[in-house]
Amino acid sequence: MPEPDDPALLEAPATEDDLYHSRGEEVLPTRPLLTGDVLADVEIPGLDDGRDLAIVLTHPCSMRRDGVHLQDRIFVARVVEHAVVPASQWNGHYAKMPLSGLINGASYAALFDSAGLVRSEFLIETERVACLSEFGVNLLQQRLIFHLTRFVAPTFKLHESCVGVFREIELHDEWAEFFSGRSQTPTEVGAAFHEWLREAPAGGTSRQVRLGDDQQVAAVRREMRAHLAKLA
Amino acid sequence: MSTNVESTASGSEARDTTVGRTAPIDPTRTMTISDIVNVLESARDLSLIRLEDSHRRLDTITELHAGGLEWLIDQRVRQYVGRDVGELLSKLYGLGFAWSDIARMAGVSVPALRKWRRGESPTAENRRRLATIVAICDLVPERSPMVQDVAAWLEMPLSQNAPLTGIDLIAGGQFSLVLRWAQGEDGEHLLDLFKPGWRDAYRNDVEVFIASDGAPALRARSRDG
Repeated sequence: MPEPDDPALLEAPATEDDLYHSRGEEVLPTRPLLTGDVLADVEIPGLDDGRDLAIVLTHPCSMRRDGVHLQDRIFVARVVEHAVVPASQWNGHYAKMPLSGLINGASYAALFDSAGLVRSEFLIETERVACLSEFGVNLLQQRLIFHLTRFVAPTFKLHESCVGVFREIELHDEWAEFFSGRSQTPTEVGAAFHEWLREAPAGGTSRQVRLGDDQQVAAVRREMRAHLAKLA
Repeated sequence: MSTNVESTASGSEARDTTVGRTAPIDPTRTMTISDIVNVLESARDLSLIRLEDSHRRLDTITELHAGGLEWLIDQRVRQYVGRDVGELLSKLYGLGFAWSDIARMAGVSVPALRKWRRGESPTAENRRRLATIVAICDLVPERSPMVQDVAAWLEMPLSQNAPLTGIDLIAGGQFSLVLRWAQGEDGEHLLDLFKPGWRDAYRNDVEVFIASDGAPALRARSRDG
């Protein structure tokens, strides 16, 4: 886990690679939509600037109304080309999220003042050009919170509050990778994953809840891998 | 401490040769408070010298111990470094690590790790790093039978005051610290060695709680603790 230099300041990534989970062809098409995903050709109502890049801002825990299906509308911000923001200047540019090297080495920034709600059905049909890493999502949240409230939330605490969702997304990636090339649709794959994840022994705790427990998460991963091995 | 103290076996005389003071005590007379203070001063100085000596010995032993652990790790790495990368990744996968954590410990991106899984060869340096992770996962339960689930254990923070875990130690290349933690050394002491500024870096007044919708949220920490 990257260490904040000064907990009183907005943090910066050590390298641009630390910002991203995947970019361009690295992006898994089966990955569920998540905070920090950058999408192409998104029209944001009220901006009147046509279709262009946008980044998902909605909190990871608030994106899905039942844990599976996306909310009807998702909060996104416009992403535009922008000069590289050096690490020393991340404690500035408060209305932006710098996105160095986002596409083919070119640098961009998300503009928190150019944001709005977009119907989720449009977003899932749109090409994804990048997904932020967990640390990248934490940085995005830290900057957005500061923009809205002037409060510096430590990224490691933001991570602690989202760790269950991050682990769930990673397990979903693994599950979806296993089923890629088979006949199920992504929605069916996602539904089967969540059904398995929410299973709980009588009177016991569901795997989804256990994902939030550091001591049990490795066991949940082993259970899923054993389950998939039986299906292979 | 540079004071040079000599003391008789009976403790009836203490002499501080640094300042040239001697404090002979006549056993036939009743000791005064001043005599007692002198004796206690000498005893204290002698204890400090012994304590310093013990610290020096402890430092030497700790250094030798760390060197021994590095040797053990190196020997185990040699067993694995020639193995197939797929086999090494399968071993870590079977233990229950997340791919993102394996990537972080190996010092590469998740997409780079995905390429290894699909048959692309890592560099010799990355192959050795992967072999080292497997070696550590072997050695931890051997050194500490209490650790039965090494993946879960490595995901646990070393201290409740910081989120740094055994995975962070491995990602930072501090392999012998992982084994020292497995053998019961104090987690916060090991963090002092790993990241000397960790206490300030992670000091905060924010806590995670479960909100009424069942999801985690952040709030200012209660003053009542």
